[in-house]
Amino acid sequence: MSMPENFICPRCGNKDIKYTGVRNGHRYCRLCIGFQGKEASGGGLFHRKVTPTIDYALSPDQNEISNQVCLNYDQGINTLIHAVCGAGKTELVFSVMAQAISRGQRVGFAIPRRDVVMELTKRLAKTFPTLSVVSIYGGHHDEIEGDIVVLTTHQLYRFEHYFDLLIVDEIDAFPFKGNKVLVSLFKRSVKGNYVVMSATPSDEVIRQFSKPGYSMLQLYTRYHGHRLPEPKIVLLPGFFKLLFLLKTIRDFAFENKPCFIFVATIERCEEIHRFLKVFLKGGNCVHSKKPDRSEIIENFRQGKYQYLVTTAVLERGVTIKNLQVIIFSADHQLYDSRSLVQISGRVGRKPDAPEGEVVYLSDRLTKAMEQAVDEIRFANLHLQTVL
Amino acid sequence: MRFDSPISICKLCFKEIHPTSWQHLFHKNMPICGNCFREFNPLFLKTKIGDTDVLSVYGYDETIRDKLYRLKGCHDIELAPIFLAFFLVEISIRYWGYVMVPAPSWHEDDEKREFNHVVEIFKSIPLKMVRALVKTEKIKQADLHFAERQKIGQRIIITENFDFTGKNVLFVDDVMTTGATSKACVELLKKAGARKVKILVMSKTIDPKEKPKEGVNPNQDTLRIPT
Repeated sequence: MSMPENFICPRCGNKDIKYTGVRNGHRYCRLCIGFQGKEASGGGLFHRKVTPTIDYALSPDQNEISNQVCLNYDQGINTLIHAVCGAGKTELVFSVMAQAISRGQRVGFAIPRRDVVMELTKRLAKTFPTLSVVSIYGGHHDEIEGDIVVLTTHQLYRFEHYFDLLIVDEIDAFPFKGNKVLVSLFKRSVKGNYVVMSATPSDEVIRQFSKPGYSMLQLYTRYHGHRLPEPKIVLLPGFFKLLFLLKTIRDFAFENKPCFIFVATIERCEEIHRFLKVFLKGGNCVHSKKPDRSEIIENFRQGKYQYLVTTAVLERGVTIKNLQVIIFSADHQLYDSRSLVQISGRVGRKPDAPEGEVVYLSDRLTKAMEQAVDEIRFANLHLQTVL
Repeated sequence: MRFDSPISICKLCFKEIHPTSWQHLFHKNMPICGNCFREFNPLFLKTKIGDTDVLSVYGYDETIRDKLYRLKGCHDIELAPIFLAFFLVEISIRYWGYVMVPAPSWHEDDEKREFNHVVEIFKSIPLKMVRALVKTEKIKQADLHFAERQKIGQRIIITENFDFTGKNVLFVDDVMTTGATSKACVELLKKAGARKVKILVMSKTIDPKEKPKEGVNPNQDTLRIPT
């Protein structure tokens, strides 16, 4: 039996015949087959006046960009916000969200990571107390329609041609980055315009948003106006790295500063934790296979732990006061300049503790490390010219 | 040799399959790659239900549950052959001369799904398959208590279109939990005149007690069927 050779998946746009299967004589797409479930019907919406309530003022830079985003949305222009880590990206879109909701339009907020979705839902509920904020992620999808829908990028399949305004944060994060299915699901769910945000957009994204009809807004200053902490590169061979690690963590502990040690792989994470445990008390390790990781992070926030050995799970969206960061084996191939910048951006995010230390601990100097330091220096240089 | 044949892609991870293992020499058109196969943990557990021998290829673990959901819940028929792909030869030798009878199913479920998952999983085994058992009522064993499960026999009938007298029959199913269905079916098949009945299940829920010792991973380099 001959099958028609041309096939385009109506959901994810897959055209490649090798990702399809044949069932009962007709072709179906296997790439997006996991995305099945309740889909949004498009219920009634009504106009209402809302203003975001934030208990602190936006900085002048933030205000400017926030207004520009609103203006772009009015003109039907898709926007990329390129802002450094800790610049307060989320606040920048509050006013455009309020604007869209006031007109009775559908607003969605998508993030690749599930932990961040949960956190952001709470934050948006606080910012818009009169509205219903609905969150959708794997295992939590009883209610899928509300005034504001906060969801993981995987859950976008539930919405077809639905959102008037869709905001996607952390577009360079795993698993969204480089996943064609997710990108096409994202395109499919937007009816109006979208705003994407990132601290470290790829060249490809920057190129796309430089075209006419798109707009790129850049914010190089953190909302508290302080410099980004510049990473310190420490090159040590083999075992000396562990000694240095011990000493640094102990120094931080004396000053009562919490500390993250970033490690590339889960096995290494367990190993390093087992080693440190012998000499230093009050630590733990976190990785994606740990079932109680949100509990550990909550304990760490409350100051029950001195240090935390972690993989890339805590690379984004974590704000802890007075945090110090050590990247162990920063020369690992897993770290590119973007993830190094992201990790460095965990430090000094609170206005009352804007300084902090970032240490890249490694055997050798890699291009990614150099690039990351350059990027951070560039942003700081820009800050100096502004002030 | 099949090195020059076009490279197929893995049904699970969508990557190209490079024939890295000796198994690829013996199995044509392997549906999954070696990396994905390493996720599976074949146990070849031998148990008994009444007098009947049961062989379960896998335990009903996370991997199997996930893949079965994709097959049955998401209707991804292409996943059906992956479960037994590496054991076709072994199974067909072990049960040479037997006639396979898949577990009964409710016809409306099959129509909705557009295929029968048990048939699809075991179809690749080179043995004769007869779909002789039919459910007369829509019922899901997983929703029932132990005591209620035992009554399943009343809801299964055997269709008359095949003569089982003197035949060796192999009853096949995808998941076995308490074995109530299998037991009822075996009784039916014996009544129909089958000479010898054996059960082969793809996966079986296992008690922690029954688990094999740790450190014994039959999946490591070669395939071993415990005898």
